[in-house]
Amino acid sequence: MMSSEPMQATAAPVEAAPAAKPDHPMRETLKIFLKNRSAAGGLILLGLILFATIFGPAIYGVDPYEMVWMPLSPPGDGTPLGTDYIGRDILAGILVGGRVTLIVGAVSAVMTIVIGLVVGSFAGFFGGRVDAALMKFTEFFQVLPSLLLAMVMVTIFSPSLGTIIFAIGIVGWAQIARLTRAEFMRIASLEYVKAARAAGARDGYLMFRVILPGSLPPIVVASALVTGASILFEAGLSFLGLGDPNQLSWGLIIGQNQNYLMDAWWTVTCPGIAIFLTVLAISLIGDGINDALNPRARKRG
Amino acid sequence: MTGTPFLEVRNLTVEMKGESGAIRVLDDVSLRIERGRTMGIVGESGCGKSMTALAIMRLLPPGFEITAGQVLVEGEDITRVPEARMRALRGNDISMIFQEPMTSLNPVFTVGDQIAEAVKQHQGLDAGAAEQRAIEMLKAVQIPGAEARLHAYPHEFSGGMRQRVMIAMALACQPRLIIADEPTTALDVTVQAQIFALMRELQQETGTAIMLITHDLGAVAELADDVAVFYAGKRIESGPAGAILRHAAHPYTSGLMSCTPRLRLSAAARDGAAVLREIPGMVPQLGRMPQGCRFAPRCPLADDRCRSVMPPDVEVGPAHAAACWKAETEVMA
Amino acid sequence: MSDELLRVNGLKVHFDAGRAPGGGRRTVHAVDGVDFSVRKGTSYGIVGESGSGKSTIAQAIMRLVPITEGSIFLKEHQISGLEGQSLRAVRDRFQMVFQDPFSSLNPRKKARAAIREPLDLLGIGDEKGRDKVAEDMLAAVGLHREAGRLFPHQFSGGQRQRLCIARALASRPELIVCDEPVSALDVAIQAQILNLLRQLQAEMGLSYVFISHDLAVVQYVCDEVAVMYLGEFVEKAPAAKLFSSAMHPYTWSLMSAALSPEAERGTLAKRPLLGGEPPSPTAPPPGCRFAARCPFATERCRAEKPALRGFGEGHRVACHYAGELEPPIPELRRAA
Ligand SMILES: Nc1ncnc2c1ncn2[C@@H]1O[C@H](COP(=O)(O)OP(=O)(O)OP(=O)(O)O)[C@@H](O)[C@H]1O
Ligand SMILES: Nc1ncnc2c1ncn2[C@@H]1O[C@H](COP(=O)(O)OP(=O)(O)OP(=O)(O)O)[C@@H](O)[C@H]1O
Ligand code: SF4
Ligand SMILES: [Mg+2]
Ligand SMILES: [Mg+2]
Repeated sequence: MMSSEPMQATAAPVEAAPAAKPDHPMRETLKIFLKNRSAAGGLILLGLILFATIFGPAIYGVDPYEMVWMPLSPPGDGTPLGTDYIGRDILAGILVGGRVTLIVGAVSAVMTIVIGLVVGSFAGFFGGRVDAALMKFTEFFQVLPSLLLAMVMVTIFSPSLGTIIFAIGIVGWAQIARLTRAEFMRIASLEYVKAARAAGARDGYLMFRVILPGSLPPIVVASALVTGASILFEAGLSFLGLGDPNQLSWGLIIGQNQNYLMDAWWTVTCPGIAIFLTVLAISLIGDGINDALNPRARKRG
Repeated sequence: MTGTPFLEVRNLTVEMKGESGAIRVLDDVSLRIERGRTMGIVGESGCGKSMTALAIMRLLPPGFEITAGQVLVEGEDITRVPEARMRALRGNDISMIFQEPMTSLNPVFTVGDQIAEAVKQHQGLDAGAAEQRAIEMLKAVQIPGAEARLHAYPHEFSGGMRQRVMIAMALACQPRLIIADEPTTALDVTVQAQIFALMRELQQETGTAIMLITHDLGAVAELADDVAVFYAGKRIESGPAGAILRHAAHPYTSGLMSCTPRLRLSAAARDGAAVLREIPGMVPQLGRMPQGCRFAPRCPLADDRCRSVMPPDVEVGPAHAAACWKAETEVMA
Repeated sequence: MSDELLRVNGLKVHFDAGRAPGGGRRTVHAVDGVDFSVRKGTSYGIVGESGSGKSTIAQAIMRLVPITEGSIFLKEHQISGLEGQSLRAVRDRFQMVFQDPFSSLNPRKKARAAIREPLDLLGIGDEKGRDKVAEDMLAAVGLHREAGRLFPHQFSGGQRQRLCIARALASRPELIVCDEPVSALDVAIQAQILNLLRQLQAEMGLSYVFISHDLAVVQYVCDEVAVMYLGEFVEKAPAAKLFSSAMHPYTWSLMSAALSPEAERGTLAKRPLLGGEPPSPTAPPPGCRFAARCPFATERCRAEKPALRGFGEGHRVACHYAGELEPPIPELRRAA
C-alpha cells in the first residue's frame, strides 16, 4: 500500500518552464497567415494592383483622356487592351481610374469602420439605455435600401468624390456596429474584464485598452469585406452614371461603354476584371486573417 | 471473471496526426467491461478518458486515428468493421451520454421527437409505438408529467432535467453498454445525487453495463464495480473498485486519494494539522512525455529505473493490475 | 468586535430581467438580504448551489454589480457608498480571484503585466518597484520568477490560477474574495491551490471570503460558514459548529449528497435525497424558500417566512422547526 508514503505536504513551488520563448499571440497569427497560400496570393495580387495604379500611369505614359487610336479597336490591334467608343486607351484608363476606385473604396471603408466601431463599442460597453438608443439608430440605417439612399444623396448633392465617399460610408456602417457591439458584450462579460475593473480600471481604460484589442479580430475580417463592398459600390454608382464624371474610375469606364458591350466586349470586360481581381484579393486576405485568428487546431488558451 | 466480457479494449493506441508528426494520445490501453457491471474511468483532465470513449464509439475527432490495438464487442473487433455496422452498434448496443446537457440535445426538436426518432431508427418501431416508448422512458427517468413534457423543447428544461432526457434517450434502445462521460460535472450536488441514484436503479432494472468517466473518486466509490485509472494517455491501474480505493497500488492513485478533501461531520472542523497532501507538478504535455514512467517526475517513490524504463502492468491482486515498478502485492490487511 | 475586517449588512442585489409576460418587469432576487462579517485573518465560507447568489455577493463586495440595498464596510470605509476616485483609493485593500482561470486573464497581457495591472491602475509604486513586486508575487505563489515573460496560454490551468492569486496579492490587500477558485481545477491541482491559499493566509494574515459549492473544500479552508439558498442565508455558524450540528434541512441535504471515496457502493441510495431543483429566483415563494423541496415542510413553512434565529455560539438557522427536527444523517445525530 502506497498511501502511507510521504507525498509533498505543503505548497511546493511549481515552476513554469520559462524555457519556451514568449510568443506573442499576434506574432503567431502572422505566422499562420503567411503560411496560408491563398492569403499570401491575395496579398501579392493586391500588391501588384497597388503598384500598377500608383506607378503604372507614369510607366505606361499614355494619356487616358486623349483619343489615341481608332474607336472600339480590339486588344492587340494597336493598343494592349483596345480602345473605347471615342478611341481612348483602355489600359491607360484602368491604370489611372484605379486610383479613384481604390481611394474611394478605402476612404469610405475607413469611414464605415470608424462609425461602426464607435457606435458599436459605446452600445456594447454601456448597455441599457445607451445601447437601446444606439441600436434603434443603427437599425434605421440598416433597413434603408443602401443603394437607393446613396443614389438619392448623390443626386441631391453634386456627384463629387466627397459626396460619393460620404454616401458609401453612411450606408454601410450598421453591420460593423452590430458586430462590434456583440463582441464588446461578449468580452465585457469575461472575467478578465471584471478583474481589471476590480483592480481599479476606469471605463476608458476598459473600453480601449482591455476590450477593444480583444474584439478586433472579427472586426478586421469584416473590414476587409467592407472594403471590397465599397469598391463594388463605387463601381455600381459610376455604372449608373452617378459617379463623378470628371474623375476617371473603373466603374465610369464600364458605365460609359455599356452600350458597346455587344460590339466591343473589351471595353467593359477589362475594367470589370480589374474590379473582380481587386475584390478577390481583398477577400482572400480577409479569409486568411480569419483563418489565422481562429485556427480550430490552436490549443485551448 | 471468465468468458468473453461485453467489451474488451486491447492495447489500444490512438494518435493525432499533426504537422510535426504523430502524437500519441492513448498508449497501449487495455480494459474489460463485464456485462451488467459499472466500470469507472478516473484521471486528471487531459489524460485521455474521453478519447477512449470516442475511440470505442469510433467517433474520434478528425485527425485522430486508432493506430494499434483492438476494441472487441462480444469478441467482434469493431475497429475494422464497416461504418454501417458501427451505426447499428451505436444506438442499439452502445450509447453515450455527454458532459454538457445543453449542447447535446438538438434545440429545434421537441424532447419527445428526439427520443422517438432514436427508437424509430434503431428499433424500427412505428410512430405511435415510438411515442409510447418515449413516454415510458421519460417516466423511467422520473420526469414529472411525462406526457405533457413530451412536447417541450430542450430549453424549457433545467440542466438536471436535460441530463435525465439524455439518459432516457440513451436507454430508449435498451443498449447493453452506456458510456457516460462526466454526466454530472455541470450539475449541482443535490441533482448529481439524484442522477446517480437513478442510474443505479435503471442499471438494476435493465442490466446494462455502464462506463462512467469521472474525475471524482467519490463518484467511483458510489457507482463502480471496477475502476481503471488513467494518467497521461496510459491506463496505469485497474481492478475491482473496492481493492483500488482501499489498497491503491499505483502512487498516482494513492496520490489522488490523499489529495481529495473529505467532508468530516464532527466538531474537529478545521484543524491546522490536517494538511491535504498534494501531487506536486502537473500532467506532462502531449508529445512531451518523459521517458520511463510517465508519472515519475511527480512521484515521491521514483528512482532511476522509473525515470528510464516504462514499467509494465503487474498483477498485484485478483484482477488488479498496476503499471508501477514499486507496486506491491495487496496481501496485508 | 474589534478585529472585524468586513461587515455586510442587509445586502440585496436585484437584477432587472426584462419584461414579464403579463406586463410589468421581472426582477431576479439574486441576493435578498444577507448579513455577515469576516474577522481579520480568517476565512468566511459561502456554500450553495448554482444560482443561489454566491457570485453576486462576491461581485457586490468588489463593487462590480450595483447594490440594490444594504451596506458593506471594510474596516471604517463604507465601500458600498464610495464612487469613482474615492472607491479607487481603497481598491488596493480588497481584491478578487475568479473561478475560471482561463477567462480571468487577458490573453494579450504577459504574466508580469497582468500581476502589475492593479499597481499600474492604482498608481502604486514606481516602474521598477512594480516589476519587483510582480516577481516577488510570482515566487510567493510558487511560480518561477522568469515566468513573468510568458503569456497566459503558456501556463496550465493550475498555474494560471496561481497567476490570478499573484495578481490579487500584488496590492497587498487585507481581504481576498475567492469565487470558486478551485472549481475548474483537477483534484490534484485543487489540493495545491487550497494549500497555497492557506499558506498565504498564515504568512500574510489575509482574510478570505471563500465561495464554493463543495462542502468538503469549504470545511478545509474556512473558519465560519454560511449556507445559501435562493439569495438568502439559511444557516450560518462557526465551521466546527456547522459540521457537527447543522440544523437546517437544506444543509443536511447538501451533506447527504456529498460523495466520499471511502463510502460503500450505493450509499446515496440509502440516504434521504432531495428531489427537484431550486425554484427560479425571479419569483421567490412567499414562505420558506426551501419549502417546495423540504421533506419536513408544513403549511406554516409555505405561508410564513422563517427568520434566522440564534442557537448559541454564533449558530443561526432560518427554519421554523430548527432544533426540533431529527437530522437524517447518523453522524450529526451522534454529535448532537
Ligand atoms: N480535438 C482535439 N484536438 C487536439 N487535441 C485534442 C482534441 N481533443 C482532445 N485533445 C487532447 O487529447 C488528450 C486527451 O484528451 P481527452 O479529452 O481524452 O481528456 P480527458 O481525460 O477526457 O480530460 P477531461 O477530464 O478534461 O475531459 C488531451 O491532451 C487533449 O488536449
Ligand atoms: N447580470 C445579471 N443579470 C441578470 N441576472 C443575473 C445577473 N447575474 C446573475 N444573475 C442571476 O442571479 C442569480 C444568482 O447568480 P450567481 O451568479 O450569483 O449564482 P452563483 O451562486 O454564483 O451560482 P454558480 O454556482 O452557478 O456560480 C442567478 O439566477 C443568475 O441567473
Ligand atoms: S422552514 Fe420548513 S420548509 Fe423551510 S427548511 Fe424548515 S422545515 Fe423545511
Ligand atoms: Mg473528457
Ligand atoms: Mg458563481
